[in-house]
Amino acid sequence: MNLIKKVKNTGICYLFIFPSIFIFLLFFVFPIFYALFLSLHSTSMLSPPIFVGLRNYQELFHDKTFWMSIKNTFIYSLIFVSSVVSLSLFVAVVLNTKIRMRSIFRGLYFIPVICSVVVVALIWTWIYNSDVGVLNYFLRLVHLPPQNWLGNINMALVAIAIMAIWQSIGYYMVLYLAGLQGIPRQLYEAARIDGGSSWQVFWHVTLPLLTPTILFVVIISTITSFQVFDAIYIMSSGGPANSTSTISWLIYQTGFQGFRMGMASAVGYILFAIIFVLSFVELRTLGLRFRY
Amino acid sequence: MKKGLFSSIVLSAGMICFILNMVAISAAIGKKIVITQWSFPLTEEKAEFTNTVQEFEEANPEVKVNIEFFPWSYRVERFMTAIAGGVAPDLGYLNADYFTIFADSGNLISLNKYFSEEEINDLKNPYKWKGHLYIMPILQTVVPTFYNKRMFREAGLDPENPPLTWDEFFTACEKIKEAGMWPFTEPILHEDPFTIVNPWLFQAGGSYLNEEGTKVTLNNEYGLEALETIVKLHDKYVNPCENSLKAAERGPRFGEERVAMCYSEQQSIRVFRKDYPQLDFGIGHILKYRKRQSHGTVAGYVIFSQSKHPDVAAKWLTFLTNTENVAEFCAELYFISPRKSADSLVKEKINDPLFSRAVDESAYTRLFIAPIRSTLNVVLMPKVQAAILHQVTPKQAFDEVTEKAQVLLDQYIATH
Repeated sequence: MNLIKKVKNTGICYLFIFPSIFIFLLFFVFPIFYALFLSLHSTSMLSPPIFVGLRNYQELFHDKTFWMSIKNTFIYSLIFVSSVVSLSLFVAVVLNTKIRMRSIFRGLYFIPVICSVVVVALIWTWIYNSDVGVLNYFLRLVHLPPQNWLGNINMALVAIAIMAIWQSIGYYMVLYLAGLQGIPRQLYEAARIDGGSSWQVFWHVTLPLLTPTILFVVIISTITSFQVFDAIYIMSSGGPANSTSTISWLIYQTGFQGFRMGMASAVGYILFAIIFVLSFVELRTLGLRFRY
Repeated sequence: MKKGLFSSIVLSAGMICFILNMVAISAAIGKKIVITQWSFPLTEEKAEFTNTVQEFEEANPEVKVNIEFFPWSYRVERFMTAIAGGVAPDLGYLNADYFTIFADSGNLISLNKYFSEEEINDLKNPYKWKGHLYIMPILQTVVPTFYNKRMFREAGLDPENPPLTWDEFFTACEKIKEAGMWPFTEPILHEDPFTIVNPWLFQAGGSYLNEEGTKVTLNNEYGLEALETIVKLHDKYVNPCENSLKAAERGPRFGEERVAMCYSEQQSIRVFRKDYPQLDFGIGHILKYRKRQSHGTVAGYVIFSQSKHPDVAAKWLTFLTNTENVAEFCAELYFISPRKSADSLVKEKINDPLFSRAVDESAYTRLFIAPIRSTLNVVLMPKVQAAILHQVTPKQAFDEVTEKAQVLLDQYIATH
């Protein structure tokens, strides 16, 4: 009787949240399991899938292109995460002080975040153009040799990372600003009274109390960096010579260009596993340094 | 109160369903048969088919032809996704190079019963696959060498006598380079490696597959010679900045006179004349080495097996690709007619010596048709790029491609 009453009382609530749950199940949960199903099959999605067991995973582990994509993804992630974590923090600390036109600077830093990645990537492709790009124009002005930014195997990935860092700094800056404003003013006053220099105040007060925010930024930026796709699609198509081929690009290329959706799903699951493990490791190791 | 609320919800839902049902029924009664065709724009106005559609609909008032235009990039993936989602159009534009994977998976309808032997024999290149005609061509292209006459003159070359053989081509490149100009354009961040590789591979006497289509032969002596030639071309005669450019930059680089020669399809004659009126250019030869062959394409329309009205779609397709309509379409857009009967009509309407030159060169067109074409694409381009950038030797590049492609081919044969 109690249960029936409970259902009657709460039934209408479930009715209201049912559309969201349905959409969540349909577009999030179902694809996760369907991708697992596909990863155990050989299919182009044009005809019924054929069960192949773990063959896709086996083939992947012997595929040089796959390992190159893993390597590129880790390199990209390292560059991206280390840069946004530090640069965004620096910008946030500066814009947390009482400087003139602070609000305008905050807005300016945030504008790239709200721009479409496609538009930003297209513009940066022209900035990087080795013939007529503005970057090489300035290099020539100061008598430095122009670079083939997106056409050089060693530079292309870094060039794309720089674009992504430029676009993302504003977002992480906002997260840091929120964290900075949560630090009690009295602690700063106390530190100043004790004779602490600006650097000492930052190192012994600001940084430890900002650790939860830093942890959040590290995890989110890691996940974001592992999922990079649009910039590569627009700027380099994974080239030259797979030097900018990341795991997400490999998924697209294998599934949609190579007509091997089963293999692409297997790569997708490996990406999921990598992100899961990395996030777990970051949470456990960096999370131990939580301080209040 | 709660009972009342529950009843209200049920009644409201019932009313909505009833109304929607009535709307659907009334829509069905007055409904025309709608044939959807996916095309890709060949003009800015996207008006290629307006008159043809109007004429067909007037003759067939129960049919409405709905032509939807999409961007060219990644069109094969678009069809693949649509088929997987069960929302493929009735007709779609495909190139003969890669319709086979759709045919093999049972997603295309055989057109054999819709076209007579006479109509099929009128086609210059009826690309049948396993005995069936799946694609009804509407255009043909050839990819000859376009060359800048002014730059040729400046380099001391005869602008009325473009190179024919590999030796003549590279001699011309050397002279153009010595005159301080870039001889050739070939961006390497290309979606489709076949336009880079095919000319040299075919001219060297090479091939992607053996005759039976069961073995990848890219890394034989002819394939290696072709890739070595491509690498040499890029080392000496292509601006290194093109390592970061995509295929779309090729035309503008030639049009803006940054390079003396390029490979481009013959419809670029019209585009160059319109966008670069000062450009003094000519149509060169398809080069000759061991063979005189190069890349080109035949494209047309297929009927997808998901079509709910295949007979009506076929009726429209028959009309769209008849001699008169093909002649008009090709003449307006500078395409070579895929129909023998429309050839002279197109030439007459265009009346352009450059176009006539291109038509002459089309006799040397060769296509690479195989179901693994798209899969090979993914494997081939990075290795070609790696060879051009000297990350690997040409032999290493094509050995790896051959090994990987053979595995993919064997898997494909085993499952089809």
